[in-house]
Amino acid sequence: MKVVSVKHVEDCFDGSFIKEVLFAEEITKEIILKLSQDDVLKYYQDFPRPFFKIIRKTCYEIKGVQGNKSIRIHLKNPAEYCIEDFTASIESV
Amino acid sequence: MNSDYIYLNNAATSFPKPPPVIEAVKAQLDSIPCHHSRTGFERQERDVFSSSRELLAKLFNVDKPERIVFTSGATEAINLALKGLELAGGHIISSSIEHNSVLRPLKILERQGIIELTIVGCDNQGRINPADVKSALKNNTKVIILNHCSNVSGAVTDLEAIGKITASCDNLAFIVDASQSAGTIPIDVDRMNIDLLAFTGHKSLFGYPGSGGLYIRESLDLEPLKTGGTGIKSDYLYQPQTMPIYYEAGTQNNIGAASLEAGVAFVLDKGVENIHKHKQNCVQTMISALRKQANVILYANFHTDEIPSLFSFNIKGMDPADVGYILENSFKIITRSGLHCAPLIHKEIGSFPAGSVRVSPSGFTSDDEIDKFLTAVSQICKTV
Repeated sequence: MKVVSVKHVEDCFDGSFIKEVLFAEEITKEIILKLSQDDVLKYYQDFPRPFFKIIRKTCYEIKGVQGNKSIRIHLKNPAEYCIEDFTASIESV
Repeated sequence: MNSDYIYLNNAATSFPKPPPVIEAVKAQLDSIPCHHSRTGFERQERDVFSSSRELLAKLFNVDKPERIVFTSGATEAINLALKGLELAGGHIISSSIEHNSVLRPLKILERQGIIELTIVGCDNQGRINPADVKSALKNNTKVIILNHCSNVSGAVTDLEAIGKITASCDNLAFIVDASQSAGTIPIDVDRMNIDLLAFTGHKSLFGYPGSGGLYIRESLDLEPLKTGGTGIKSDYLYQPQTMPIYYEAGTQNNIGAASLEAGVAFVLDKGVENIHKHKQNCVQTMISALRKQANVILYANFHTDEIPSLFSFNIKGMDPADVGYILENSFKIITRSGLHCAPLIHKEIGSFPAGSVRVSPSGFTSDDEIDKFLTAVSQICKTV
């Protein structure tokens, strides 16, 4: 999937880090299932436009609607996640 | 108008605007620019600033329209009020239902050591008890600043009761944030003993974002927030103290004033009480239905004589941000989720830290739109 644009989303939340990602094509069920392969998937397909939420424990959440071209990524602890990711990757070197 | 969506976020910015507002803005953009103190009869210019001020004065029962000064919105009006008064060494009383437009200037003044601050709490529906305000008074209390209507629960503060308390105190200014109430709930600055009334144009007054103002009682000594060009007395090197331009340095927002003029005219024509009643009926229908949903938590007043014009809710086990997202993206219904820039009230009503989903109808909200909203929430509750 080609990413067209990424923008920061501001809202009256807790100040955590939210990005919205715009793709070149619509999000299909197959893409949702692929995206959530190793994560927890909440998928509500009975809504007029199916909603999904992918939860990667302690790192981030992705949510979106099937048929839309964008998803929203909520980084719960962006700084901590980056350090954790860095630590994990450096240890494997 | 984008009719694909149902818009229930009027507490943020009202939509749609009445047709006369759109026409007034178009007419203003299509007119030769004029300065409000230099308009003549020959070019048939319309002084939208003065006519807007006159209508606002009628709405708030202000006897001298020039006591209303235009600002970019309620935030600037509140900053003008708080930074224009001589507060050094003074005590200020505010409440936990305030928006950050009030809380942040106050907390900064407190951190700078300029003021002593008392935040009065509220009940679990966001209501302030006037007796709590009275008991917070100190000898050095200089200001009481309160929200007229909570932008989270819709709870309405009894300004008349508070006004009676402030009237009995010397050298105490009563500031009211009418962001949510102006155009929805009747306001009478004399009857309520309000010294400074901050309002925004883009909510229930149907103006455009970037419009708003502050009513300043004549007896108050208030320093301007900004100084500069006024279009008059250009040879005078200090700020002319003529009202209202003493507080209106710089180029004024004529589009905002034109939209406010048409918006306030619309409100006066429809009647504030009628608009309020319509919103209350919408909210009554919604909260009556939502109360039957076992997993819905409501943050609203259920007493029939105090039905709010907006309310918040949550669905047990769901993040309000997800509920708002689903409503918007799966059902095309726009609400607002989060803390709504009013963090303290959530601790009192039990919705901290995730916040709530806020639903705010307008005078244009239809029964059909409410039905669709209730069907959507019901479906989310059943599915999740």
